[in-house]
Amino acid sequence: MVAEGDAQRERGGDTVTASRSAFRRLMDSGWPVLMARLVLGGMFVYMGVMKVGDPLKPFNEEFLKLIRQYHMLPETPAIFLNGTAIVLPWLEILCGVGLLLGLSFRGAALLLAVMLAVFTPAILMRGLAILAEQGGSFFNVAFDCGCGSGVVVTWKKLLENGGLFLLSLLVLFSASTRFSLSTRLHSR
Amino acid sequence: MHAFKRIIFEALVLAVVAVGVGFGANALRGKGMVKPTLNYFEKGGLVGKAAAPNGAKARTKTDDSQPIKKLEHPYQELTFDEVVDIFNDPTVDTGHYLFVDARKDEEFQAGHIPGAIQCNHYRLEEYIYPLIDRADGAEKIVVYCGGGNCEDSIFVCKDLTDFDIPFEAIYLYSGGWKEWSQKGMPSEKGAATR
Repeated sequence: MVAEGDAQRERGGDTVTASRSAFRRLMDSGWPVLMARLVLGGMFVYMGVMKVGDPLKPFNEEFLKLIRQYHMLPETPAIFLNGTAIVLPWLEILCGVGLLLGLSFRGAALLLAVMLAVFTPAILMRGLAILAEQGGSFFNVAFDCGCGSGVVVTWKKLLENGGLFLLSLLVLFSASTRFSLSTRLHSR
Repeated sequence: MHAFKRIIFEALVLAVVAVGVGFGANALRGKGMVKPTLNYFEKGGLVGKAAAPNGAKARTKTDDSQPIKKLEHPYQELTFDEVVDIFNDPTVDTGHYLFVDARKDEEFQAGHIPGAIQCNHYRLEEYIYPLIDRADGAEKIVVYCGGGNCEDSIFVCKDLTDFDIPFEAIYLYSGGWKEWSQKGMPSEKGAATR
């Protein structure tokens, strides 16, 4: 009886070990990190470009107003709010490009993780504030979060940001450097 | 530890480059750039002090359809009926009265109160001087924007006072374009004549 139990535990242990090694092999292949980089990079380049608009035309004041609506930054001195409106879209684009090319991509993933960790609760708070005033269901709350994608349904945006946050953590903590430009540059 | 330091270094480099690229790209916009130290959201130093002239009190406006915040300002407000009276006044074309639309180009071009002058607060240099020429000496200057939670008309009111237009000549129509168009009032399309 005891021997049978030991055998079962052993078989179970083998299964866990096998699935762990399969997971490790998958991670070592570099494909999950590459996919995460492409999704994150593509999303942030798109969102950054939408915020920048035409760089030779007058700036779009909407983004400035949307940042202000969160009340996270002081209005005086104005450099905090205006500087954020000037730099943030380009930071997103640069991080996105870094992830797509595999250049400084862990630094980019760190920055994006920090940004998402700040913006996601801010979107939640704003959504709850709108809900408190409007009433009804949280699932119906929609507003322009200044994310570059126009008016969004809050819970969907929170889910999306949660997913992007997990992807940025995956890129940040993965040991794989396959399919990256920085590896090729260093190997020369 | 070495890898961690490297990641922090990469992040710092990206942040510094983004600051450089961001400010550089902003400078390329020329007059249309974000002015880094300009506070675009000042409503005037009189906010909350009930400083409107002739005994009129500074008002706090709420909007049922956009119930996010209360808009405080020191300016005299006009109701829809009062704005219609001004619009229908036979002397409206003589320069006694002036309508100022504080919305952005696309919105103004899509439709505005006939005869209104556009003034985009965020690109003031482009709009303010022709406006000041017309506003100087006007009896009533009615400033409006989209309505609801829109604050741009308040900022334009402040711009007008900054350019020495008398406070008592400035009136805010907080119902704005939303109310005007919803009530089927006349509208005009096309770009601003500056």
